[in-house]
Amino acid sequence: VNNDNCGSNCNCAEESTARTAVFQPGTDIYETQNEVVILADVPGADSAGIELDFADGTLSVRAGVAARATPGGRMILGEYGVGDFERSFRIGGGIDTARITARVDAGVLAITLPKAEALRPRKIKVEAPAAPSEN
Amino acid sequence: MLATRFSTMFPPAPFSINRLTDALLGADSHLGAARAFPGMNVWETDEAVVVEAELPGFSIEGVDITMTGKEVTISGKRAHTEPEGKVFLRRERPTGQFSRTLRLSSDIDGSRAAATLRNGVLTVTLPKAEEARARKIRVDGK
Repeated sequence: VNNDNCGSNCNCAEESTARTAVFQPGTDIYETQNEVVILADVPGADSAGIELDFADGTLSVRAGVAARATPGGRMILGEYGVGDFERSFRIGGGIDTARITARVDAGVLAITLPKAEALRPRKIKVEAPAAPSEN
Repeated sequence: MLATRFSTMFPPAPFSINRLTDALLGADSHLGAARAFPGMNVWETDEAVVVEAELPGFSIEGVDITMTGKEVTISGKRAHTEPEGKVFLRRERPTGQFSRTLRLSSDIDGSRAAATLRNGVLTVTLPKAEEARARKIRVDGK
């Protein structure tokens, strides 16, 4: 479930037709008993700009970031560009894709991928054998 | 194009801590950038210096801004929460403490500084001290 289309710092050769720059968000992925959670840093994005698409085993995530008004004057230090965030993840079997949910808070997108019922851990009751008959 | 998140779009500013690596690796090198957290964009107008920094997952209570003379320091901490039962498959988001100091070319009026944190983007407006502001000097002709 954890492999995305390329490494975190790669420069993909693909060209986008979008006018604005698109960036790949830094992402944590962790697994618990019942779900897999993807956390992505998408500063500047709010819930209105989040798009999730699941098709052909790939979850595509886009976080639209509204252009911010610059304060004007002269830029004296520029360390990052502002644009939308985009990343896709291959989702293996065992995820209940119909129940994927997402929320964004303080510029962090959290996507919850519930594990399919069949793969969740469960206690298996061990039946005691019938009492041996004494003879 | 899927661009690298941090790029040296401008020649290194005098106070850029990336100056040395930029010089060693070339200004276009991705290796020379993205070391410092958080990334910052800084503008200077006649009246103020405006610092924007990306701090996703931070609350304003978790960020400290201190000003002394020409220096402003932004520091904070992003908790490294790892409750029981979590197995990390990938970990790229920075955690822990950070602190970055910018040395500005003008004195700041710290009493009028203001900061907002929205959707993980911190904006700090640092008004210049009265005597540091640009002003027009009228030239009297004869």
